[in-house]
Amino acid sequence: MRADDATNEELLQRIATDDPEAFGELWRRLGGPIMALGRRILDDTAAAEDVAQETFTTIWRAAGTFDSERGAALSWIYTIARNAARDVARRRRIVPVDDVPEERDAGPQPDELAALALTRYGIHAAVAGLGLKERQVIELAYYEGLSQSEIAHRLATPLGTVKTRTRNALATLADQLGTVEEWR
Amino acid sequence: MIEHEEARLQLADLVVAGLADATRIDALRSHVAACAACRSELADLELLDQTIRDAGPVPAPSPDLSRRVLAIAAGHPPVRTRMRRATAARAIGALVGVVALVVLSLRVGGGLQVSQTVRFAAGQGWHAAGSVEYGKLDGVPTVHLHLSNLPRLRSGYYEIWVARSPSERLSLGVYDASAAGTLDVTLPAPGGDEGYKGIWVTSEPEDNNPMWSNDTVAAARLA
Ligand SMILES: [Zn+2]
Repeated sequence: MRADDATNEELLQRIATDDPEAFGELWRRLGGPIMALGRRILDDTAAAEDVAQETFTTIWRAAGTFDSERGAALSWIYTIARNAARDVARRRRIVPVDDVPEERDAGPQPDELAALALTRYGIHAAVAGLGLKERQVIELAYYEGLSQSEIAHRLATPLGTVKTRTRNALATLADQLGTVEEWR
Repeated sequence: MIEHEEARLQLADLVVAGLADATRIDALRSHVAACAACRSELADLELLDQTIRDAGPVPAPSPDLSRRVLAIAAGHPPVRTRMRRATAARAIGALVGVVALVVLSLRVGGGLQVSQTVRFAAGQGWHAAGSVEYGKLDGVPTVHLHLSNLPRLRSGYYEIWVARSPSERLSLGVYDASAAGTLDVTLPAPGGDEGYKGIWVTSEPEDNNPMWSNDTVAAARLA
C-alpha cells in the first residue's frame, strides 16, 4: 500500500517496523498541525519547532506502543505533542498559554483553551489529511477568500469539478471533526 | 420539492457561497425549514465552517525543520532497534567492574571520550547495579550505560531518560534486559552542558502512555 493512501493508524504500524516512508508521510500530514498546536500553546515559533521535532522523535521511538484499539492515532499523537510542549516550555522557561492563571470570568478558562487547541489541531490535521486537490479548494475558498468560479479559473478546472471537490472536502472534514469531538 | 436524502447531501451548498444557484438554495431552505434532521446537520456544518475559518491555514514547517525531522528516520534506526541488535550480538561477560566515581577524559574502547563516570543507585525494590559514562563520541555528547541484576520483563520494558530534574525528562529509548540480566547501551544524549543533571531508568508498563512511570529501576546524578 502506498503511504499516502494509508490511515494514520496504518502509518504508525509501519513506523513501528522502522519504515521511513511512512514516517515521512505522517510528517507531511501532521508536521503543520503540530507546529500550529505548539505555536498556540507556547506563542513562539522556535519553541513550536522544538515541539514538532520532539513529538516526531517520540513517534519514531514509541510507535510500537501505539494500540489502535485504545484510541485514534491522532489522539495518541496529540497527547505526545502536549507532553512535548510541556517539556519545551520548561526547557525554555515559557509559561504555556493555557497554564496562565486567568481572572475568574475574564476571558477563556484554561480548559476552554485546551478544548479549542484540540479542535483546531483536529481541523488542521483533517485539512492536511485531505487529498491535495480537495485541500487546495478548501484553502483557496477559506484562506484566500476566492469564490468557486475564481477557484475554477485559478486552477483551470471546470466549475462543476471544483464544486464537487468542495462538497466532498467538507463532508470529509465534518466526519473528522465529529471524531475529534469524541475524544473529549 | 427536494427529498430528505437529496437535501442532506447538499447542505454544504447553504454554507459555502457559490456552490448552488438561487433557485436551488431556496428549495434547500424550504426543506430544511421543515426537517429537523437537516437543521441539526446544517448547524454542525455551520460550526465546521466557522471552525475552519477560525483555525486559519495549516502552517508549513520550514524546510530546515523538515530536514531535521526526516533525519530522525533516515539513517538513524530507532534506538530500540539498535539496542535489540546490540544485545543479541553482545557476548556475556562484558565489562563489569568497579568504576571510579569520576574519571576525567578517559578514552575507552569504541572511541567514547569519557568525561564523567557515575554509579547508579538502585530504585526501591530493585537490585540493579552499574554505572553510566558521560562523554563524547566523535564530538557528539554520548552516554554509555551499563546495568546488571535486571530481570527480563514479562511485559512492558525498561526506559532510559535523561533529566534536568525528576519532573523534566527526555526519553532516550525503550529496552529489555539481556538474558544475562544486563542492559548495556551507548546512546547520543544531551549532557551536563545542556543542564541535564542525571539519567533515570524506569520500568514501564505497556499502557500506551508516553509519560514516565514512578517505578525507578536505577538513577545516576551527574556530579
Ligand atoms: Zn431533511
